[in-house]
Amino acid sequence: MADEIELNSEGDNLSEFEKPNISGWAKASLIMGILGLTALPVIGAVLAIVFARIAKKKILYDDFLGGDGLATAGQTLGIIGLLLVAIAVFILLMEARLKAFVDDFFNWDTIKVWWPRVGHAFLTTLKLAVVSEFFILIVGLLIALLRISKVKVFRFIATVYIDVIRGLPLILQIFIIYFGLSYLGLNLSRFAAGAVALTVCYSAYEAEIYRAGIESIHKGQMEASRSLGMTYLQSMRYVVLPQAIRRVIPPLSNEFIMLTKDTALVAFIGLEEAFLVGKEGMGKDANVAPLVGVAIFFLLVTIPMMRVVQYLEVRLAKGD
Amino acid sequence: MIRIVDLHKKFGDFVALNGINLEVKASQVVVVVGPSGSGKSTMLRCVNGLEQATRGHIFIEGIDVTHKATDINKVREKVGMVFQSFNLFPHLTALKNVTLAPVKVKNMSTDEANETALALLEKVGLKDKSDAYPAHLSGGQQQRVAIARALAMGPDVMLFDEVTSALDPELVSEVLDTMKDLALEGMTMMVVTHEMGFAKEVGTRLIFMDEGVVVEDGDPTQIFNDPQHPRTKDFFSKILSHM
Repeated sequence: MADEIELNSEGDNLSEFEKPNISGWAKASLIMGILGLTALPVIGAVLAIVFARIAKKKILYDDFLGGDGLATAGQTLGIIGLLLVAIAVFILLMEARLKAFVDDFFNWDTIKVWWPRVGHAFLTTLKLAVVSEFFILIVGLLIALLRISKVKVFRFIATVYIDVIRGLPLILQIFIIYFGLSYLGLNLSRFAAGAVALTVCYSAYEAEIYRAGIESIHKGQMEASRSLGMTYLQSMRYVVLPQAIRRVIPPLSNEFIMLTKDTALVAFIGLEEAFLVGKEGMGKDANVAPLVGVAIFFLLVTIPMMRVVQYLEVRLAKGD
Repeated sequence: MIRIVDLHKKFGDFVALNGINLEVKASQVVVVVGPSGSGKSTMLRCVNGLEQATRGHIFIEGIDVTHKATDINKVREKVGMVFQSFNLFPHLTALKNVTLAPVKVKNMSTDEANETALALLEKVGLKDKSDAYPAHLSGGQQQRVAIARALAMGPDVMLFDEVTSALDPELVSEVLDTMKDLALEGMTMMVVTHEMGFAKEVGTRLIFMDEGVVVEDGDPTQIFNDPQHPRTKDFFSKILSHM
């Protein structure tokens, strides 16, 4: 402040200020920067930036204490000053909206009541995923073997199955199996119908994955093992499949992650899994917090699974 | 031992074998040579049923391999085959490669199979590598394990399909030496190869094939020194010019 008054009132200092005195502009910039954060908000910040630009234009060489360093410091302070003003204004304007956001997504009273219920229902989600996966892995392999069979009829059945199932939405398959089968006298529980539908659907996709894995194994492996007198099935069991399955573990693991998420669709036939309970909570308490809980439970399982798949991809690639 | 009668094989419109008539007696070492596309590998693969003949018959110890009712797996227990690309099972050790078929097909006990396998691996000079995986073996070593694997089933005939063609030159002789030992023990062998030295030294019979037919058939040294057919002369002049 004192410098400023001196500069403005005394003649010789003014002429000094006008001369191309690098350190003068740089010093002024730094001072303005500090003012911009304290007593003279917007103006100080703007001037700091302007002075810094002038000072930098006049610099002939880098001189930390004299010119460039001070100018940079002043400019930085000026920019920070402007940013802080902008954020303060934003928060002021958004305060009402922010409050509403937190209230809708993270309402503590709702969380207290509904997140435990969602967590409990999530156990059903996991159970459905694991039970389905068990059958999917087996059925998928069987269909793959039919698909590559030398017997034309087997190949035909497998191809039709794979094409039709992959051509229909999963939610439709769930409904058809739950409601449709009951007309045939087969009354499946919601859980069973869900497991059957998921198995039917995912085994079609996984059959193709298995098939790609099997076909990626060099033909010579089968030829060598058949030449030793082993049957087709023995060759598959001891030579081809051990190699093929190692190759398809990463894509099959990805499918399992997708399966875990698709269990949510079984909510639409009324199975008490996490998504259904979350929806119920949202309806009763009129905010999204229960569904946020569902999301968190899913992420707690799916994200670690993704890391496992990554690890497996690296490990198994090394083996090849 | 092996009788090939009027063997024909077509792949779509392409005629690979155009009437082969051949008889291989026990302990003969039949070396089959010829330009690529001549049908030598196809003929070999028809013998153990890897290819289905379009016409004709193949009899192995009296059994018609080409007949639909024949149990081809039983036939293959008697016919061993070694491939150009080795085809070792990469997920199994050398020892397990050799014992797999005897255990699963012949229901041998693991101990007996191990004993036989180790003896065979020793015979091909690789007993110390019995616990190694194929990926850690050189090409020549892999091929010798492949030979031991084929021998483990106790075959009466051994088929060799260009088994040294994929090897680095310095590894070829170790495999040929193993085959020579086998021949001296009296094994009946059909060998498709480009190794003329082997044909001359170990072969008891040379067959020259071209365009799906047998062009010349006789004593190796005689055919090398005095080829009768113009196509044979042409082939040898091309091969031997850079040997």
